[in-house]
Amino acid sequence: MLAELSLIVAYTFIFGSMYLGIALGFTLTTGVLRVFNLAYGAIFLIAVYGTWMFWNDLGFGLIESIVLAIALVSLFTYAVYRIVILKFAELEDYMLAALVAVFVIIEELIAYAYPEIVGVYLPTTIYGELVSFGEANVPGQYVVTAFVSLAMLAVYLLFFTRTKNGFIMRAISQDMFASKLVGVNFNRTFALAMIIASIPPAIIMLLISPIWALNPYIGWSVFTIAILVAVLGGLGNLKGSVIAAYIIGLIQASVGFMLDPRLMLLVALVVVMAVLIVRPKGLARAETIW
Amino acid sequence: MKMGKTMIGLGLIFAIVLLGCTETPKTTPTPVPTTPIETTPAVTTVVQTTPTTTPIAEKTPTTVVTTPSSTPPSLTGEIKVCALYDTRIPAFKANVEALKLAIEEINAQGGIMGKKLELIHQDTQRKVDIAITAYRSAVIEKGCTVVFVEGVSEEVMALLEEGARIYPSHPHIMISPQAGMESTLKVIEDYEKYKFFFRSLPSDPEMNYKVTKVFFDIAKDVVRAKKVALFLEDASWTKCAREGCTYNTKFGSISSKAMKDWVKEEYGLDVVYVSNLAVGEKNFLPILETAAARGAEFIFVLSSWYTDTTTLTKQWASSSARNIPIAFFGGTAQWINAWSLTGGASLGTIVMTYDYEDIPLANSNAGVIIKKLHERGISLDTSTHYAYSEMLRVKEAMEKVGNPDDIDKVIKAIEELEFKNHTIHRAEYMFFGYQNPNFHSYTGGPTMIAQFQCGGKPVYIVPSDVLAKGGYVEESEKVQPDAYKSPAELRKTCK
Repeated sequence: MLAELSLIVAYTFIFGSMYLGIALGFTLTTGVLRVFNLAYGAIFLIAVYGTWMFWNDLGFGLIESIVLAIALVSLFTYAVYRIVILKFAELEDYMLAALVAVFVIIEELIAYAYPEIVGVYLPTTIYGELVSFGEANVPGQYVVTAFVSLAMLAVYLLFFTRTKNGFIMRAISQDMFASKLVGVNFNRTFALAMIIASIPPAIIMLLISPIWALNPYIGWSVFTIAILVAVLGGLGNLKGSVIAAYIIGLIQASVGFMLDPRLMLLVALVVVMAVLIVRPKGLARAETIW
Repeated sequence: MKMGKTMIGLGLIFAIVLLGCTETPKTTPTPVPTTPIETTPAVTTVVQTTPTTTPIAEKTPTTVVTTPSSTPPSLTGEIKVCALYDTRIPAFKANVEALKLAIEEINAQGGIMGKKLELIHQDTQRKVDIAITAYRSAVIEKGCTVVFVEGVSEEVMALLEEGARIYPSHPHIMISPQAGMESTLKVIEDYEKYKFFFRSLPSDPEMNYKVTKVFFDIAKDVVRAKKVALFLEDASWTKCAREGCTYNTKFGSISSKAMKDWVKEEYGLDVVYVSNLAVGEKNFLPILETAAARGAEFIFVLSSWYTDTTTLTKQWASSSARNIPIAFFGGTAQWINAWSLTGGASLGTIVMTYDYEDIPLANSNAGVIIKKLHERGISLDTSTHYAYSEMLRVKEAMEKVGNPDDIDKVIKAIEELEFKNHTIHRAEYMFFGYQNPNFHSYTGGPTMIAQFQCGGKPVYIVPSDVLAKGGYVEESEKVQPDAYKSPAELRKTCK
């Protein structure tokens, strides 16, 4: 029982932190731009396969490849903003359809260039040993991922509470109209928000890829987690997303170790639905990003 | 860019849809079984071969008894072979490439009775409606007399009905590595209607019992484990392993106990943990940690292409279960490049693999075929060998009949043929004509199991006596069960 409890506590922390990292960027996009970015799932793919392309195909070093891949991810999100989001700003339904289309196109392109048989693998393991937590052991790489995720949250918080651009983004998330009146440069801020939002999922994906599924269609399942966390958290509220990530982590760890691992995602979904029935706008209302 | 309550609803709906996307339904995959056994028409636990009035085949393999057709063979034209596969799936792409290779080789030798073979590939997208359209087009419009179909159950079951409808006007043969006993039962119960179908896989009880048994021989005699954990893919083809099963046919009954029961009874191994794996699952750490916590000393994974064995391997190597030997039945784990797919995390894993050019098989052609397909960028699982070999069998049958166009007689010849050119299996396991529940299917038997050791080199560790008992005498002298090393030891020694 003690071992089970240790596992649940450890994996609540691991899953919660990891899910937070996955959802951070999505929360930011929905909080600042008020856009449900359905192309977000493509970021996970571009991060991993971009790194592989630079490293394996173009002969760059691993670190340079990671930097280049993150730059590619930023370029991609900026292009999505300029070409899709701005274009369909007043046509929300079409925008959503176009964003999904972008995701699928990226997915198919990657599946064409790097089918599973190619054997894409990135040696991004930072710590490969087990870490003991009470009577439980957890993979060291997961622990690293969890702490990196928390570190990125801290950077986000500093950005929103200490920098001018952070203040502007918070202002936009609180009242877009008033922000406009005081002369906020929307285009610049939105583009910056999109780029900043693309970095955490890229880093998390690179960190978990040595122990997580890696194929051209993996974007969907990771994106599911981002959506769940963001929706439960209140769509665009960072505090809400933090709470939501750990709630989902707790549910998954408890169900996985005490009930049936097969029910982990299903139970999480049911609980999110139940919470939303009681609190239709999520745990923290998205009146501000922080 | 306003975002209202509808967004939350939209988000949830989307998440639910995604959940659906990640969980592929029980489509009965291509499991990737392997070899067979005994010379008698043995079936798993119980077999009562009841004589039938249906004039089918002999009970044991015989060299063809078909008399040459009275129809004079046409020496012109082509024999069209259709391949209905979604080649986005690596295993299915490999099947198509194997067929291409077989056909190239046959054509290089002059074709079949002077007729060249033409391969026509059609994409099914693994959808029943598209598969039916492709199948009708293949047989009726394109004139294919041999149709290979990917092993997706719902497709094959639908195509069986479609095939039965068009067979009288367009005789043809359909071959598929479809897992799931229902197609075989159809052939047995209504032979005249469904005789055109051959299943290049053993029947379910055979697959879940005889083909998997060798893993537990390894667990007991090579690994020296006493406690095992079973991870069983939750798909229809694994029903026999998960729950046990019995099928009564007019050729007798075939059954298998649940794996947890026969593993205990026959091998004396304690089954400390059983978990069903959801198709599409990506997070295996809870079951791996639980298996470790329960003291498992050997983990067996009954997997097909629908289980992400790459991720499972990566997570195994990162978890508390990393020192517990883990054995995989099917999936990407069968490929030699599982090593690169997992970044070397597959070190120490035990796999059924026929993807190694120096595989210790008596049939020296196996290594040649593997090499040729590797040169085309293809990794092989067992079904790849089945596709290649079945094309050769069709050729032999057509030549025995003396007329490739007389499909009724070709079917008969396939049933009666003692086919000795299968790349990986002995003839008695590949015999289609047994008048028992394996009719028009393979028969299960021991398989070649290897352990990935330093640098991803497979070392075949099947106990020699198991292979020898199964008729693989030459192979039994080449395997090295003593070379098995624990995963912990391999991690220490391999740099």
